[in-house]
Order: sequence, then C-alpha cells, then structure tokens
Amino acid sequence: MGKPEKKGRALTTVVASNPTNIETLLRVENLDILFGTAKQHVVAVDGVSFKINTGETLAIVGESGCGKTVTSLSIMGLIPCPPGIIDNGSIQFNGKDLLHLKMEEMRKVRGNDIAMIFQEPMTSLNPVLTVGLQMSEAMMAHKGISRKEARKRAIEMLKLVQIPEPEKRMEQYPHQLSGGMRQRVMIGTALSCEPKILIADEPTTALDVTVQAQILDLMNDIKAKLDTSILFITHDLGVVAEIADRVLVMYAGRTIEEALVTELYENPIHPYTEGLLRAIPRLDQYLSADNSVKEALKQMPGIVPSIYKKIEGCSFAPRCPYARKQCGQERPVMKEVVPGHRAACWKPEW
Amino acid sequence: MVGKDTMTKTNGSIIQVSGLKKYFPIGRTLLGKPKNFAHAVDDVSFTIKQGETLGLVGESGSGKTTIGRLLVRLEKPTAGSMLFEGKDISLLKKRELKPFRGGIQMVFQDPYSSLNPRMKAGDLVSEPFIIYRKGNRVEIKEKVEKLFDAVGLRKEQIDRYSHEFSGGQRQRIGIARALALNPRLIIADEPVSALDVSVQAQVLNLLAELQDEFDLSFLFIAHDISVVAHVSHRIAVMYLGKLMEVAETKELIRHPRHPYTESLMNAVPIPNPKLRRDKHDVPQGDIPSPINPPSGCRFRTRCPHAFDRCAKEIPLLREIESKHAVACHLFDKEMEDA
Ligand SMILES: Nc1ncnc2c1ncn2[C@@H]1O[C@H](COP(=O)(O)OP(=O)(O)O)[C@@H](O)[C@H]1O
Ligand SMILES: Nc1ncnc2c1ncn2[C@@H]1O[C@H](COP(=O)(O)OP(=O)(O)O)[C@@H](O)[C@H]1O
Ligand code: SF4
Ligand SMILES: [Mg+2]
Ligand SMILES: [Mg+2]
Repeated sequence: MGKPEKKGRALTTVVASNPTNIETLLRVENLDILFGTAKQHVVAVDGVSFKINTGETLAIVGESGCGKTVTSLSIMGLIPCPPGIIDNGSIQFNGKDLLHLKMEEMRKVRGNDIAMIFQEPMTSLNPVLTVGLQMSEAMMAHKGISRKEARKRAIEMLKLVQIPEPEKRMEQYPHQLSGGMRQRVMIGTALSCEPKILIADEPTTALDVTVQAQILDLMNDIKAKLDTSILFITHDLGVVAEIADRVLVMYAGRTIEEALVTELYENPIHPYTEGLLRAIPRLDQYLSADNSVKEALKQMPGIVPSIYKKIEGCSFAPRCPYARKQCGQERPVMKEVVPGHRAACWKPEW
Repeated sequence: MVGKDTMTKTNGSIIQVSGLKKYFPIGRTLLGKPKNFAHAVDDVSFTIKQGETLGLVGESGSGKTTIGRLLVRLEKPTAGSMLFEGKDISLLKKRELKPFRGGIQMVFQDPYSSLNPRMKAGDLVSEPFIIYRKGNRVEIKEKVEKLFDAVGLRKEQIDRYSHEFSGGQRQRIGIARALALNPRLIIADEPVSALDVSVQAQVLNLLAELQDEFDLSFLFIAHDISVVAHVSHRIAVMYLGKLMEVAETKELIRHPRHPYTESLMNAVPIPNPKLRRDKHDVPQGDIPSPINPPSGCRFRTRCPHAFDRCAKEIPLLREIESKHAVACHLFDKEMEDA
C-alpha cells in the first residue's frame, strides 16, 4: 500500500465582511476598571473602547495580565465589587447601558443575550450534575421551557457541537469527559439559549493542539450556522490568525491597536504589535520560502510594566525602539491611521 | 572534555538511548501488586550528537517529561540503556551517579515552582557548587557572578529573593543554576511554555547563545512544534510513549511522513491570516490513555490511514530515507520494494 498523495493545504483568503450591512451589537466606551479602594488601587483596565458587530468574531489579544479577562467579565457584569471598581465608561447593548442594569435584568442578559465560556470548563460546570441536567436546567431557567423540551434541545445542542453519542453523554458527569469534550459541552450549554454574543476567554489554551484545532473549527462552523457574534480572547497570535475577523491588541490595561485581521498582520502600526509578530517562532517560513534561513527571533527588551505604577505617557515607551521624549510624557490615544485601522502611538505623526 | 577513545566509541554522540522504557505502576491489588501500568515511555531509542539540539515534541501525556527525568536519573528506567559519553548510566546507583550529575542538567517548565522563593538568587546558583564541593567561597562567588553575566542577569540581583523576579528572569536563574557544574547536555523541559510571548524570544535566544558559548548539546522538549522547530537541528515526534518520526527540522516540517506528524502540522495555528484553513485536517477524538494503549500502532485509533496490520503489529522506527525515520506500516511496502 503506497502512501496517499500529500494533500495540499486548503488555503482561503480572509474576506472582510460586507461593510454595507454591519450593525453594532455592543459598544464599550472609555472603560476604567480598578481593583482596591478609591484611595489605593491598581488600574486593570484603562480607557478601553471597542465595539462588536453582528456576526463577526472580534479577538482581543495580549499578554497575561493586560486586562483581557477583566474586560470580558465587565460585559457579563461579573466583576467582583469590592475589590473591583468600575470607575468610568459605558457598555451599550440593545439600547441599554449594561453597567447600570439592576442585578435581575443583568441576569437575563447573561442567560439570553450574552454567554461566556472559560479556559477551564470545570470552573463553570457543576461536577455533581450530569451533562444533560446542567444543560436543561440552564434552558428551563432562561427560556421557561419544559423539562422534556429542554432535554430534547440539549441533545440537539450536543449534536451541534459534534459530540458523538449525545444520548449517552447526557447521562455522564463532567469528570468523565476529556478536556476537549468538556469544552464542547460548555459551548453547547452557552449556545443553548441562542445568545447574540458568545464571549470565549482563552477557550483552547488548556487543550492540546489537535483538540484546539477541532474546537476552532467548531466555533467557526457555529458562527456561520447561528450567526452569533464572538468575542474571542487569547494570548496566541497564531490562534487569532485562525479565527478573528477583527483584532484588538491590548497592552498593560490599554488598547493599543485595532484592525481587520489581515491588515493587522501585514501592516502592524504599533511598535508593540510589530514586536510581538517578530518575536514568535513561525512555521510558515519553512513552508513558503524555498531557501529559508533560520533567523534569530527579534526579542523585545524588558518586561510588561507593573500595574502598581502610574504610567504618564505611552505604556510601551520603556520598551519601544522608536520612543522619543514625547512618548514618556504624553499619552497617545487610539486614532485612525489608515481607514479602519487604529493605533495609540505617536510615531505615525512624526 | 571527552577522551579520544570515548569519542570513537560514541561516534560523536553525547548520548545514545536505546530501548528505553518507563512503566509507572497504577493502583495496587490486595497483595500489593500493581494493578496496571502507565506505559509512559515504551521502547524509545535516539541519539544526540555533540553540540546538537534534538527537539522532542508531542501532545500532553506523550512521555516527554518522563524521558527528561530518566536522562537526569530522577526516575529509574524499567528497561533500556542510556549511554552518556559512552558510559551506561541507566543502572547506576545514587552514589555512582554523582560524577555524572553535573554532566547532564535539567531546566524545568515552571520557573515559579522549581525555585525556592525564600532563597536568594545568588544562593540558588551557588547551591550546586556547595553540594558538589566545588571551590571555596571566593571561587564560588566569582563563578556565580560569571554565570549571572552569562544569562543576562545583573550582579546587583545576586542578593535578591527569587520571588522578586519576573518569570523570564526566574527562568534565567534556573538556567544559570543548570550551567553551574559545566554540563555537556541540557534537558530543557518546556522552558518557555509558561512565559509570555515577548519574553519567550529572550529566553530562546539566550539558550542559542549559551549553546555556542559553552559547547552544549540540548534535548529541547516542548508541545509547541513552532518553538521546537525554531531551536532544533533535528526533531523527534512522540505520541503515547513512542517515537513516531525523527528527521532534520526543515525536512520534518516540509515533508512530514508520519500521519501523526501530518496532523500536528495541520493543527498548529499559523500566525498568518492569509494561510487560514477552512477546516483543519486533524484526527477527531482524544488521545487514548497510556494505561491500556492501543495494540499495534499507538496512533491507529485516530489515524485516517489505518488498516488491518496497524492493530496487529507495532511499527518499528526505521529510516525510510537518509536521516528520516518513521514508525508507520504505510511504509512497509516501500521498504520491501527498495
Ligand atoms: N479580583 C482581582 N483583584 C485584584 N486584581 C485583579 C483582580 N482580577 C484581576 N486583577 C488584576 O487585573 C489585571 C488584569 O487581569 P486580567 O484581566 O485577568 O488579565 P488577562 O486576562 O489579560 O491575563 C491583572 O494585573 C490582575 O492582577
Ligand atoms: N509518577 C508517575 N506515576 C504515574 N504515572 C505517571 C507518572 N509520571 C508520569 N506519568 C504518566 O506518564 C505519561 C507521560 O507523562 P509525561 O512524561 O509527563 O508526559 P508529557 O511530558 O509528554 O506531557 C502520562 O500519562 C502521565 O500521567
Ligand atoms: S507612542 Fe512612542 S513609545 Fe509608544 S509605541 Fe509609539 S513610538 Fe513607541
Ligand atoms: Mg485572562
Ligand atoms: Mg511534560
């Protein structure tokens, strides 16, 4: 038996969504989130603004501690207060400011309109409930449907997330499932109430790469089928390239760049984004170039600033190869540099 | 340094591993016998040449860390031999191991848990000299300063506690400590997996510099094939306790021959949206348990090409081309014809 011909890699060009029917679903504006007391605190999220459009996948990418999780928890109304303080800003959804909703109203939004999944599914799955029970309870609570109906729908959801033998899985407990299966159950549960936005916080970070690829395919598949918008949070620029339509880059609590995915990778404006893209080892250099020489990675000097220090100018200035005096003194705000491509950096103005 | 005879005997290899096995007992019967075994490492053979970096890649639970721990003899092998500079260290007793301990050193994944936070950075790096009684206080101090310099830490940091350092700096302390006794082989077990991307590059570049400076050989272990490819001359791909494919880096990435390597390559996210795939061509399902691994080829339960022979016979790792070894029955015919 001979080895089958090697299949070519199926490549597709990413096409920007049709700009005529874009509608903004959620708009975050000037969000500041602190931890501590009004007097003594750290700034975890510092003036963050962005929007999520219908049917798109927006990725937020950044290194650990830059404020990705805190940002997404604030949309869900899940910032623990205290010690969290939402100091400023608004989160507009469906004509309402989520930051000013009553607890009861927010709970409805959480179940019906916006759902969230996490890196470790065990944190949100109830270990003593079978898969079937936890899925149907969620639907009974939020959709007010009967147990029988909820069960039927739970099985449908398990099929949607491509779990083999869904009837059998319904009777199993979370610990009896593999990591990949658990993440599928989480996605199925989150989608069972047909949310308009699915927030996924590092959903594949704890998974092995072959399982990660399955979950990314599943999420792309579901987005196309259900027309759900996805807010995808990750630290991995490889994953972003695989899943995002649009990307928001965060650094030390601030947003520093925003663009459509192809544009961001081809034409990074902010020196931090540029540095990150050069600092990652990449396989495509072996795959494309005929005569690829292994280049040393361009390392970024220094480390992320401590959030205990107040930053006057650009938070990246101490590590930036282009920094001038202005950078250490004045804070650059997000500005459109190229149509649809925004960055918080003084350099384009010099 | 290596003597001339060992040089000829070892054929330029720093380490030659052959038939290495590690079965961990799982559970006990009433009579105290193990109920089962986890076949963590099952008949693995490879060599690393002087000055070479061999990358070991595979998903979690494939046995990578166990191989590393066997090589530094933190674990005792169930079977097999490990010739370090020509001498078999697989059966040595604790006392007999001492002269070899300096020669092979391990750098661990988690710089947070592998260093005692209550020790000063300088003490962590001088500890190996004290344990192995190498030099007096003045000499040790001098050596520690040199090591700090080599790994890019400042002398003033010698008196700081390890918890005051960032992740990348802690990994530097770990590396300085590993370098203390002039090792010839370094086992780096996921040395950058816990670090942020911008810091990963700093540590990877440092390891490359040290390799030249100190004439080191590396076994570089990681689950991320992009990282492994970047630092390794050759790559060994592992799955459920066995090596599936071994080849030079460029060859392996461009022409993966084992179906498992192919699926790894199809799965790895590529930071280039223009190369986005509609669907990843990866095996469905999860990695089976090493307690009752599949018969025959370990990958057959997920392999898209599996046929009857795959369940019956364990495919042996063998060269199908010069310097390119694969363990897969798809190549049996090719081999017989040749
Ligand atoms: N409950 C909390 N109390 C105090 N600080 C917090 C809390 N949650 C998050 N932070 C701080 O906020 C910053 C942003 O955290 P996070 O959003 O979790 O980062 P990311 O998800 O990007 O890794 C971090 O510095 C973190 O230490
Ligand atoms: N001390 C131990 N006792 C029992 N099983 C173990 C032990 N150490 C490792 N294993 C098992 O051996 C297999 C290989 O583990 P490991 O070498 O850590 O894999 P990797 O580093 O590739 O993730 C796993 O299934 C693991 O659970
Ligand atoms: S504002 Fe200045 S310091 Fe900040 S990234 Fe731009 S050039 Fe660098
Ligand atoms: Mg987070
Ligand atoms: Mg390991």
